[in-house]
Amino acid sequence: MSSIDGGKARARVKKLFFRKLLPLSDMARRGAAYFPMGADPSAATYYVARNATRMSRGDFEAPVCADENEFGKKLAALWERSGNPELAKCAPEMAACAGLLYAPEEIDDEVSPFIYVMF
Amino acid sequence: MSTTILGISSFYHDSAAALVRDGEIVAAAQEERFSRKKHDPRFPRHAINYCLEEAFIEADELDAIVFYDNPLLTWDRVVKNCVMAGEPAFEQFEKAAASILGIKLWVQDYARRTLGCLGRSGRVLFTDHHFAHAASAFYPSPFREAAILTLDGVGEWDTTAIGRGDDDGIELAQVIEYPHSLGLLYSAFTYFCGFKVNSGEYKLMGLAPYGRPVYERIIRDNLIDLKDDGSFRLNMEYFGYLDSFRMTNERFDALFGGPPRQPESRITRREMDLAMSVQAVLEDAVLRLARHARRESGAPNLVMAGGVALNCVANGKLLREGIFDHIWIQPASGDAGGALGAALMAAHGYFGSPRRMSPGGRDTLKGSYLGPAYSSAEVRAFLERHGYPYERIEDPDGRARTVAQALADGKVTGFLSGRMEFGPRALGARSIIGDPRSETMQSTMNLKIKYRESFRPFAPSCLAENAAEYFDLDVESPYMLLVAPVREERCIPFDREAFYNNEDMLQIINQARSDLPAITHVDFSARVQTVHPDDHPDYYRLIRAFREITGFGVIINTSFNVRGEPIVCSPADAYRCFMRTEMDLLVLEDCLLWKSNQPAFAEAGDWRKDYELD
Ligand SMILES: [Fe+2]
Repeated sequence: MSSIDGGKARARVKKLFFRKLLPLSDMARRGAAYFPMGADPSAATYYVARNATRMSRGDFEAPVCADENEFGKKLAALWERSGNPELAKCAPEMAACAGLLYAPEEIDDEVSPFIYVMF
Repeated sequence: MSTTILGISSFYHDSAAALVRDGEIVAAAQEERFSRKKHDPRFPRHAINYCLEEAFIEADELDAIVFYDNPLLTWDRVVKNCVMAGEPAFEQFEKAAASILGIKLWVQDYARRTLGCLGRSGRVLFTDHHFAHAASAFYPSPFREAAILTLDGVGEWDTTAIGRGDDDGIELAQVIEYPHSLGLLYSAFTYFCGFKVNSGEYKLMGLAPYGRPVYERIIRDNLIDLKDDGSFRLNMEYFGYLDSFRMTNERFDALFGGPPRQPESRITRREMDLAMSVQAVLEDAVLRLARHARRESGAPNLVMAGGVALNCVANGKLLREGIFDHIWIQPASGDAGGALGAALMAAHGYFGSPRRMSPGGRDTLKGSYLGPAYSSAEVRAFLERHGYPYERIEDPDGRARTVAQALADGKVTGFLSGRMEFGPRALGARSIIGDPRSETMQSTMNLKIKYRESFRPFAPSCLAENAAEYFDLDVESPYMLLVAPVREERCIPFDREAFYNNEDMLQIINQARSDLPAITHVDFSARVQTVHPDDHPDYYRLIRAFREITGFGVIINTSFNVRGEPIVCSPADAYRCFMRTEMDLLVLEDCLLWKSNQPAFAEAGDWRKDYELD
C-alpha cells in the first residue's frame, strides 16, 4: 500500500465509521445492544449454547475470501443470517475499505530465511 | 494416502507454524525464535520454512494450510464492539481495520506469496479460534475421552468454551462471549499493576503470593458476577478495552485508590494485594468452570488450553481439588499453540486422519520438543569457523557428570540440547541451569545473567520419579504447568505478619525459605518441571548426575535468554547470549565452552537497547 493509497484508505475508513456505523450507535444504546454490558440478576446462567457444536467440513472452507467482493458478499450474508440487516448494508463499503487497506507485508531483509540452518 | 497439514497462527501476538502428518505432530515453532523479535506477530515465514524442512517436503506437497482463526467473525465482533462504544472507539476501529481488513483477511495471499503455492487444496482452510485451542489440548493428550475447557482473552467472539472430545472428535457446546472474559479481566489487572498485557500476566501471578486478597470482595461486588456454574459477566463500566487502548478506566482507578502503577516503578503493597485478589477470583472461577465441565461432559479427565491455562497456580489448585481424575494442559496454550491446534483440527476434523494415541499412556506431544535441533557436526563447524575454543565430551554420562559438577561448584550454565521447545517455557533444550541449593543463586542469576531484579523465584527441574521427595506432587508435570507446594519438612518458616508489613520485596526474596531457596516462592510453592527419560534423555542424565554428586535431584531451569529477548534457537544465538552475560559454561550438544577460555566478544552498539521489557 503506497502512502497515497494509505491516505485514501484512512479517509474511507473514517467515513465508514462516522457516516455508517456511528448512526447505529444510538440504536444500539437504545436497547438493541449487540452484547450485554454487565450482569443480569434474572439470568440463571451466562453460558451461551452454541448452535453448531462441531466444525463441519464446510466450516473450514467458509471464511476463505479470494478478493474484496467475496469478502463483502460473505459479510453481508453473515449479517443477514444473524439478523443484522443494518450492518449487512455496510458490507459493500467495508469490502471497499478492505481493498484499499490490503497491505502485503514487506520482506524483512535483516532476517535470513536460513537462520535456523546457520550457514 | 498420507496427509500433511501446515497450521498457522499470526497477525496478533506470537506467530507460529506447526506441521502434522497423518495425525502425528512433526514440527512446531514460534516465529520469534528465528526472527529474534520477541512475540513477533508477522506471518511466520521462518517457522514455516523450518516445519517444511523438518518434514522433508516442499510446499506443493502440503494437503492443506490451515489458519487458526475466522477473520469474518473477528471483524463482526470488532464492528459490533465499535458500534456499541460509539465515537470514542474510532481510533480503535481505525487500527482494527488496518490489521483485520488490511492484513488478516488476506492470509491466503500471504501464504501464497511465502510458499509459492497453496498446497494441494489450492486454498487456505480456517478453524474457529477455540476449536484450535481445544484441538491442541485434546488430540495430543493421553485421554481417549475428556472434558475440554478453553480460556483466553478472546478469539472471534468466544472467551471461554466448554465441551468434550472423544472418538467422534471435538464438540464445544457452551461458550462465554466477549466482552466477558477471564483472560481480559486478568490482563486488566496486569495492565493496572504496571506489567505488559499479553506477556506480563506471568509476573502478576508470581507477585500474588506476596499479597493478601484484600480486594477480592471489591472485585466480586463490582467487576465480575460469577455464577455457581462458573459462567460469569464483567461489568463493562470499569474497563477501557471497548473504546480505548487502556484495559481499565477512571472508575477502575477510583475503585482501587488511584491510577495504574507506572511500568518499572516500585511495586507497592497495593499491587501485591491486587495480584493476590484477582488470582483468588480467577482460581474460584476456574474451579467452578471445571466442575461444570465435569457435570456436562461426564468425562473423568480434563484437557485445557488458551492463555489462561498457563496460570499454573490455578492449575495446581485444580489438580489438588480432585474434580477430575487426570488433567492435561497444552503447554503452547497461547495463540502460538493455535497453529498446532489448527493443523490437528483439520487433520482429524476435515481429513479424517485417525487419532494417534501413545501405547505407553503418555501424551503424543513429544515433550513439546518440536523445534529445530543441531547436530554435533553442525555445532563443531560453527565453533571452528569462528575459532571458539571448546571441549568435546562424546560420552553422554561423562558429559552429564562434568556439567553436573560445574553446577555443584556454583557455575551458571547455558544448556542447548536437542530440539527446541514449542511454547513459552524452556524445558531443558534451551535453558540456563544452576544449583538451587545456593542462597545467593537466585540473585546471582537474575543480576548477572538475566539483568533484572525479580521477585519471582526460578523454576525447578527434577527427575519424574522422585518429584515427591521435594514437592507435594504425585503426577507428572513435564511442561512446568503445575505449581506444587515444596514439602513441608524442607521449608523454613518465617514471620508472616512482618512479611506482609514489609514493602521491600528484595529483602523478602533474599531470605531462604527452604533447603532449595532459589526455587521456593514466598508461599513455599514451586513451578515444577518433572523430567522423563523418554522426553529428553540428556537433560534427565544431567539431573541424575547432579543428584549423584549432591544428593539433590533438582536443578534451576530458566529460559536461555536475557530479559526481553526471545529464547535462543541456534548455537549462534546461544553463544551470543553466553558472551553477553556472566554465564560460566556453555553446553552446545556434546561441546562444552568455558567462559574463561573464550576470546573477547566485541559487539557494535548496546544490545540491551534492543529488547523491550514485558
Ligand atoms: Fe486464544
